[in-house]
Amino acid sequence: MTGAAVPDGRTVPDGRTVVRGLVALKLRLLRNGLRRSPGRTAVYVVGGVLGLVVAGFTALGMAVLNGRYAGSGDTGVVLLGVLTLGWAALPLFLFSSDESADPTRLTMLPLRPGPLLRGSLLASLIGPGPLISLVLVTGAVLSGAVGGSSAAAAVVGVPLALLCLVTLSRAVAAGNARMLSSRRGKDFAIFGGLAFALLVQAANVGSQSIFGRQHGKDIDLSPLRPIAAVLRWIPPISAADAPRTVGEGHYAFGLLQLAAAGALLVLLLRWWRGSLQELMVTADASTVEVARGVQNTGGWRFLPEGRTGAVMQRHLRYAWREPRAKAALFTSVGMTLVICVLSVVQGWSSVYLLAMTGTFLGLQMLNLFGMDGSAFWMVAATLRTPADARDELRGRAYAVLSYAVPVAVVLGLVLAAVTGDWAGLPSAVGLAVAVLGCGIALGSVFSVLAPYTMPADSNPMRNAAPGQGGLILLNQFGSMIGVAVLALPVGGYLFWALASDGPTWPLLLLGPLYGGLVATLGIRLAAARLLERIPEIMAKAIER
Amino acid sequence: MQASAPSPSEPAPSAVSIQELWKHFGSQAAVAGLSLELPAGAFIGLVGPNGAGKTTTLSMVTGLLRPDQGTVLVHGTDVWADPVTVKARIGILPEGLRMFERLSGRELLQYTGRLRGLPATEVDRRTEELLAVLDLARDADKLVADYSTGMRKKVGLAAALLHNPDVLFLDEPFEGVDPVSAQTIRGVLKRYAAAGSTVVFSSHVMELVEQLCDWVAVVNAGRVIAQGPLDSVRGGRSLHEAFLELIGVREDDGQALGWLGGGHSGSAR
Repeated sequence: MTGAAVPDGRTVPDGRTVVRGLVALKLRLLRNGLRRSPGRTAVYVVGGVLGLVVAGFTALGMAVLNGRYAGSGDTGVVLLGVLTLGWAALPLFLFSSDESADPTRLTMLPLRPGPLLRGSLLASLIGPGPLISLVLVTGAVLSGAVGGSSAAAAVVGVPLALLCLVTLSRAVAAGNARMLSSRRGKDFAIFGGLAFALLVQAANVGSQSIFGRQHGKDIDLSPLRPIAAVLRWIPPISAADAPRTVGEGHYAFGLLQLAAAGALLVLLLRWWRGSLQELMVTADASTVEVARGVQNTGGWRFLPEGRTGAVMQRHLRYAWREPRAKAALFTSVGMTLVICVLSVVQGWSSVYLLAMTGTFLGLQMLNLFGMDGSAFWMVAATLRTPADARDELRGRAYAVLSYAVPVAVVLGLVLAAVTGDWAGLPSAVGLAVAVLGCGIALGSVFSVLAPYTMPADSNPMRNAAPGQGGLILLNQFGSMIGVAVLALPVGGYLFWALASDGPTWPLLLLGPLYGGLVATLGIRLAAARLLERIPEIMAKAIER
Repeated sequence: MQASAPSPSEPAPSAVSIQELWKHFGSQAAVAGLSLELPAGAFIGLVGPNGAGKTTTLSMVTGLLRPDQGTVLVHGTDVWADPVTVKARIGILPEGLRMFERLSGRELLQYTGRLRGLPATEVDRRTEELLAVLDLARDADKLVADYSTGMRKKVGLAAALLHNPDVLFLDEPFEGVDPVSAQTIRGVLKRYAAAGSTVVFSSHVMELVEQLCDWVAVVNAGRVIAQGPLDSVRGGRSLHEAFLELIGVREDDGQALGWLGGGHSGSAR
């Protein structure tokens, strides 16, 4: 405490006050976030407990591996590698939802960088994420630890690794804050998210090929060895491996591993501090980013005249320009690709997987007007006749078709080439188009009858405002199941043809015909209700 | 250019002294060599059209945005030599109002006070008084996320006033605010200025500036094009007329848009 006069708020506060204030702030934000809705509290608590239980069992399992299987320490190293990647990627998804990670809200206050950094670091150690990580890091250490000297190294290694992980996440977030909050950054986050999902799938396949291949009771951990041999020298993973190294008697190497992690921590803290200071004195992304005009291309001339063409154009422009629409589209395509790649890797691929393209891209027709958000009034104000309503829905359907059909054809060619089933290709494309038609029909109907609110902030990773869970489930599952039921005639024919060696090629004609018929019916049905339900849709489309 | 402490012989010491301030975004100069002396104890209006550089200037003056060039002194202290010390002595209501949305109004003020190093009892006392005066007492326990624009501006103002700053900077404090809240804000600002503190606020509502301010600076294209006491700037006209003339706006002669209006027939189906 300084001996100065009673602070009147016009002097710079001392460091301890700031640190305590920031920690209290984090706690309060956590509590208030939960206070908003009981449902969210439940999800948070259940998620946290579940995470802890899973982490606990993982840690226990790794401790059990120790001593029983050769190379048990390698599992810990690999786990920590995954954990590190997770913490580094975390800001991509969570930045806009975690207020306490956003230093720009503190810019008005007289805070020196030192206390600000200490307070932020302490605050970021609070929460279920760091706790779960602590359990996992402990498990990783236990997987390879040997004896008392390991324990001594673990006392330093575990907290050091945890500090590194948390700091890494915060430093990445602060270092890229401007980018992540800009429109371009959100686009980037979509691809980051997709890449991350692919990586998780790859890890999944990898772990299955190790732990699924157990003959009798023996687990063969040897495939991990080459990966672990590299990873164990990379900080902060090295900090968790140091107890094993020390336990095995290599004191110098163990110390080196700890020192590497310590050096990383110092570097990360420096980077974070620099970014924090920079963030507080630079302009918001919206100011810095020089807004470019959009190019006016002539390719739109091929679109239909009138409302249908205008709607189609708008829908396609949004699919490219608006992060949320883009995220939805790329997730659909990405999910299809992930499953296709998995099927090829695991050897159960078939050209008929193409039907998924129809299902997933048909989802793009869901909640059309909820996606319009507060701009829906522009649609509503110009809908006057049933013909308008039909054109509106038809335009959106054409827009979806305009990218879904090419994607289906290209993917079909790839699948046929990989599986060698060229004979099945025509029927697979027909099936996909039929399924797509059913998706368009159901999407139109659900968009009119059960729209839901999208969150006002444009975080592409959040797909609905709180409290809409039921409606989303109804939409997504209703559409998936509905599509499956509606596509039964086509699927049934295919099943019959495949089972009894009948011709499958007629599906190339039947599929589009049937899909087109169902889609037209669906659009007619939805259009009839659209006009009368405008006020109800408006109430849902605009948040609050 | 360190200004010495104001001597009694100088009649109007500057609260804020801005010299040759520059800021580029890309190739565009948002603020282009802006210089300005703002007298202490005055109620100052910073007016200008959209994109004139008002927000950029206020951000640089308050230590929120690093200038490319130029110096800013607030009561003699160089803002960019020691931003933290200056921030301790000024209050800011920035544009956009980024606040902790998941704190209640009361909690927001309490934490602001704590982070400014005020003793807890003093924070509580000031918080309750500010909430009462700004007519927020009833909503003090609602989360800021659920506040209306007017309420957000009011709680932002309370946070800016909590430490009784020497100079208060407000960026468009009345934009999107309902008349009742605007009246409340005006009352509080007037009381604050009457006690001898300096208020600097930006606005493009001339009537408001005319009613509240005794000193005006007109900014256009990143430069000051007129400054001084209100009466000398407006020179017998309304501030609105004086402003349009200074900016150089020409009346539209109505040649374009000839098709607009008067059509009661032939609407397309």
